[in-house]
Amino acid sequence: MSSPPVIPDRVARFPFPFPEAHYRYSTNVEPARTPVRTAAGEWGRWLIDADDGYRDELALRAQILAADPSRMVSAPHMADAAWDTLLLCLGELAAAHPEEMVLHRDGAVYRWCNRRLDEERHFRRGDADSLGADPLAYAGSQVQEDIVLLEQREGELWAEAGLVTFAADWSLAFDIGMTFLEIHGPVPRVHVEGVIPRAHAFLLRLQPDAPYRRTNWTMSADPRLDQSTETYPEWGPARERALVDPAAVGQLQLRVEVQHLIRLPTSGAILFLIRTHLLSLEALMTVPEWARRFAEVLRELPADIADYKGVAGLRAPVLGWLEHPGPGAASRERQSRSAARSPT
Amino acid sequence: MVGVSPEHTSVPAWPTDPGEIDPAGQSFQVLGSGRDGVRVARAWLAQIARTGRPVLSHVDGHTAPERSVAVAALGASLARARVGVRVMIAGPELVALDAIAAARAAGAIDAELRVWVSDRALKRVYCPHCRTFTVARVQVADTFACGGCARTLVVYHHLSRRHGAYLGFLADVQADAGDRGASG
Amino acid sequence: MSTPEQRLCVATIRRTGTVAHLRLGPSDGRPLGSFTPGSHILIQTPASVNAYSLTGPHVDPGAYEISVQRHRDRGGSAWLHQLSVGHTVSVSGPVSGFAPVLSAAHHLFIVGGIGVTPILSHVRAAVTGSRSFEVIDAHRPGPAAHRDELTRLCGSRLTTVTDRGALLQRLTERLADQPLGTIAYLCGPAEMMAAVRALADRLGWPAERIRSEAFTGVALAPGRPFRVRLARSRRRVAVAAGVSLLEALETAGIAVPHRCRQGVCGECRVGVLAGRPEHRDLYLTESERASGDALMACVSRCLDDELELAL
Repeated sequence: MSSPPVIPDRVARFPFPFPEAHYRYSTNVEPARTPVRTAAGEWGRWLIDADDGYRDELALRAQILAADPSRMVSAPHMADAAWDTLLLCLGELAAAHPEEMVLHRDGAVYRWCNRRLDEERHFRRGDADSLGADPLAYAGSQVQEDIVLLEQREGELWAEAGLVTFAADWSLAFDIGMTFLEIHGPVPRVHVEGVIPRAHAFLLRLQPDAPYRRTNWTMSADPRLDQSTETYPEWGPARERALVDPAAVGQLQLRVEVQHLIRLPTSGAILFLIRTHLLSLEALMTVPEWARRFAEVLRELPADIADYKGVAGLRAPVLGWLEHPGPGAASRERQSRSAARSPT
Repeated sequence: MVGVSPEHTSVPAWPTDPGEIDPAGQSFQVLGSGRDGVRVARAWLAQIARTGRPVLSHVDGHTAPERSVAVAALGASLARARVGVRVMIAGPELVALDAIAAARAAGAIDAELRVWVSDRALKRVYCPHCRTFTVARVQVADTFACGGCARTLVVYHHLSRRHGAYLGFLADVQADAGDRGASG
Repeated sequence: MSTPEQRLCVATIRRTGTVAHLRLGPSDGRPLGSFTPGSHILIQTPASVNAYSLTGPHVDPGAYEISVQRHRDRGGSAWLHQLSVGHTVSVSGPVSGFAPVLSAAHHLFIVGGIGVTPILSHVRAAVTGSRSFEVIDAHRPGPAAHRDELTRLCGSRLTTVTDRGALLQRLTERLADQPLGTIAYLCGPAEMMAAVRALADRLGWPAERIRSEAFTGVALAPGRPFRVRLARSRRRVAVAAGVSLLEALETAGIAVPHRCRQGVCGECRVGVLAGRPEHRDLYLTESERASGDALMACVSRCLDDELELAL
């Protein structure tokens, strides 16, 4: 008798994004803080959740920001929204991790205690000196999420501030100042099917006490979080190699973003929180239901969506690998042949 | 690009017709650039003259310094403008984008702007890899050499009105990795 | 849909003429949420669900403050007027539909009568945030609600007028002399707001520069009660005001696939066999709406007394 295999925490909490056997863009928003059972475990009980990658990812963010300050954009008129963001993030962390993190208000003074990072601060809202940091920068040092702040005016939502170090092939520095609709211009099909305009109309009337979330996904060639347009020359080649080297296929990552959409209470700005989760195909294979479902989704994916997500060329090798995984040279040989035969 | 409807990208479909002035405008700022832009601006100025409303115009010749002086003058006079003003911009896309950015930075909104673009020959392109802007004679999907890092960039159909620039990115990532791999 | 589901307790009550000022505090000691300037709350009264602007401080408020003008024909306001300290009421969370534009260069507030209520939190936020602003206030001669407070907050940035001619004259001057980047905020009687809009339009103001308070149109109204007949299961379900069709079906044990509960995702589409749907979603196209053969159960209702559904 053998005991059932232990599922690693990272797999058990992975937000597997395919409830159905086909994938299309949809306005797939749902209320935040709703737990979702998956074949391997559960995700989504908390709005912000510090997982076992917490310290490493925050250290990585600090490193990326130091090397490229353009990953953070703040603006004086968004200062109130940045304070809203900080208080929301700290409050949500404290709710999810009461044993390690506490946010307490005594009159106008907030006390934040984060034992995971050995942090303790006393500050007043609106007083960056008391915090010892810019509120947006400090929020980004406490949560793994990327942050984008949008202002509502002229019937549009304008990206006016943010802190984004783990982008999936976009650039905050370039997109800053664009409207929500302009930012999503390059996404195929979605306009024709009305998805983005619907999401836009939804966001325009989002209310503060009702945070929402959605998932989005893509594939990447290695477990690198920073896949910004800025660093494309660094991460781009790995993707190209995966197209020609079957041995690299198992290391391909299913990259899932859990995006929270929040109307901030005092500023009225919209907060996008983007949390990136990565799972290698090898780890995906440990959950047979996921491997099967992912293969179904890939096989059925329309060409334009596959193109936009950058998975068109990966489809055949990945499907081959999902059918015949394994470390053996023989199986690799087989995959390589089946990949070569499969139409794209 | 497969599946992308051009009318939904961030690249504007500029009106082909210069149109009439907005009769609700209480005052006007007119910028005309280049031969065709100046011609359209003069037609607008004639219409405005018939209303008797005040007007400030900023007209340039053909050189790059003249253009930036005209755009800077527009921004400076809009800083003193009152709500009710209409901003009329006619000229090459590159100048029009700069003028739009200056007008928006001064507080103007889209409803107060009228833009007519004579041609799209020159573009400012942002290289996210070295964070510099290059002005080049290119169309969307063309490649060119970045003025900052010399990488070959492809021009993407993504336009920032704040920067007045298109997004570029490395055209051939494999070749780049090969080139740069050798030097470490 | 915001519904009055929080129980708050009347902490103080005082009156100015026909206006009652109520402070509503938490009955369980839990702190109340901050709100965006210009927000309102919905209050359940025996007669109706009414919206009232929050007039107090908007950051970490100790209580929600409202001002209720007594209307002879509206039972809700009369009921609120007879409450006393210690009574509890059912209240929604703050609903924002009249927010400041964060990047505006200047804020011009135009107030008529009791329309002062949503402007107070705006003015307070502008003062704390050192934002540039001015207020033009029109009310009948004599004392009017909140004017002492407004004067204290605004100082020389307040102009008060007490007749229509003076208002239009003052507005004509001020609307013609606002820096580019100004946003105007209107709250007052419908007739006054229409007159101000018409004047602003003549003075070249684009509609995007003018915000006005609209209690409806942001949070969905509770709607009228109606009944549904389910063709397949041959059951009947009543849908009360303030309860969505989806919620009524769920309560009756009838599962409908759903996701967003906001009328955007398209999951809870239900076929309509008879009766005219009142579409309140963002999902269906104009032609789908016109055909009337489906509705989104999470937000949409019925124009008639009864709908027949393909369930």
